[in-house]
Amino acid sequence: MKSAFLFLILVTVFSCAPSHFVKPLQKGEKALNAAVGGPLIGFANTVIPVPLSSLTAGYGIKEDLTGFATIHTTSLLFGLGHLELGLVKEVFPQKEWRPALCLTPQVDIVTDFQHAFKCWPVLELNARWKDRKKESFFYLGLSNWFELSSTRAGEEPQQHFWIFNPHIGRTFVRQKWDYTIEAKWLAPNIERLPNVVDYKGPGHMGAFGIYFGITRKLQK
Amino acid sequence: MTLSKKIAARCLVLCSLFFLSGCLKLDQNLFNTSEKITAYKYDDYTGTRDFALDGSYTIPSSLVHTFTLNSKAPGEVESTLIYATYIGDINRISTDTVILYCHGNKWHMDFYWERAKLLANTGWKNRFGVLFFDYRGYGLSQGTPSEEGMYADGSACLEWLQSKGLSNKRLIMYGFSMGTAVATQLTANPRNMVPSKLMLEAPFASAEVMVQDAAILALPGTFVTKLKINNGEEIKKVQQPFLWMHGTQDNFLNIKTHGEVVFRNHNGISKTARRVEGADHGNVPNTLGFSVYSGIILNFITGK
Repeated sequence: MKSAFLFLILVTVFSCAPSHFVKPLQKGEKALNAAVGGPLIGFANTVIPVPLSSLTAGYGIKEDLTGFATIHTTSLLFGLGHLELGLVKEVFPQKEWRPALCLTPQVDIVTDFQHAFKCWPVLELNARWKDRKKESFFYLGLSNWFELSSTRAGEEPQQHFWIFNPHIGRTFVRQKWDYTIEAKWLAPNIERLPNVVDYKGPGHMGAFGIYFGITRKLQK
Repeated sequence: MTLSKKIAARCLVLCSLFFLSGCLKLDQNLFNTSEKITAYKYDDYTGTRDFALDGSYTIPSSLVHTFTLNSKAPGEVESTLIYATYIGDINRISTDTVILYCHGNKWHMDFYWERAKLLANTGWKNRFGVLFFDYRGYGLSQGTPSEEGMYADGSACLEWLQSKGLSNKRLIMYGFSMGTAVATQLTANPRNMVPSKLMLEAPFASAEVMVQDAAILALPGTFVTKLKINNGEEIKKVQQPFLWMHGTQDNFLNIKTHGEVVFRNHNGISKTARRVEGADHGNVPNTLGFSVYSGIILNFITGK
């Protein structure tokens, strides 16, 4: 039965994606991003990342402000519309060893196109260090999910209103394409109770996730 | 590319996404009917089982009766043929105490044969009659699994027991894992017979709890499944005495988020909890030890 529930996680579990834009686009610049990856789970005697996928479109509103929209394509295959809408704001640029800092407020909206609907805000913070001679960069960040519902299934009280996910990533910047690899520790503040999904992670807390992204920068 | 072609291309992508939307459905994948059989073999079954009993639990072949029943869910035009097995003397059903055993999600009656034997031999050799069955789509039962179908199949078994003269006060319901939905539903909302007691081993609270356990966020269960199973709510209607057993190390249906909720929500005349230290989802009887497990069942049924 447990393996049958693998399908379940494809849709809902940690339906997250890597950071879409750690660095704002230039003003008027457009970009399309495809990402795949998810939490590590035990399956068929091995450990695999859940292949969640998403597509993101971004637009440089100002030099230090980018708007983006993401659709989760794996969820869509199962009849769920999961949309992320957000802004990436560069708070300050990199100065020598002090990293550039970006703030990303976003909202996640999920619907089954019938009557069920769920929405939660996310606030992400990313510190970025550019390579000395290249545009590629390394980043550290924290994405924070906020649960707005005071109850869980069966009117049980909500235990976790704040779920934070620290991550580390590397983006290889090329002329037209960027490639990103990111590792996330999902919900390290929450004990990993045994359940239908066999998450893998450090100790008994949260789950570890791996993500890959590819971005095509379009001309202004 | 001209502007109109660009717009057309984008529309095509969007249309494709919405066309794909919902093309994969989960519910049928949740029913585990994967092992196919051509006959029930019981003691001669060589496949995987949660545990095996020694020869002292053997049931004489004269007390093993396999038969078919017609099951019809509300709204169905045609009935579905399902297989059931009664362990005991059919001619004594009217005076025996009978356990209706609603098995879990895995495969078929052969997988649960040892469990049924254990219940039949609780107290002493062939102390209780045990009726168990394969839900539609499981084992040799025909049809396609569905939630309503499971309840109808359980109800068909109760009708059969009633036709053999079983009284409500001698009917005990036992559900294991997915079967806890059937046992709870038919106890909370009786369709024909009214069970006198309810036993649930490793119950789940609801499909929504399963989803939220996995997702952390309080996502609606309907995002994943249309199953309405909600033992956490249904158990509130059960007034009969209730026995709950759950492994503390259940790595499928967590004892905290599933079992404890079901137990807490029972408001009937009496309830008994057995949190089985170290037991996982499928090994409560053997972790307890068969004699201890049998003792718990016997005491609950006899009210001692």
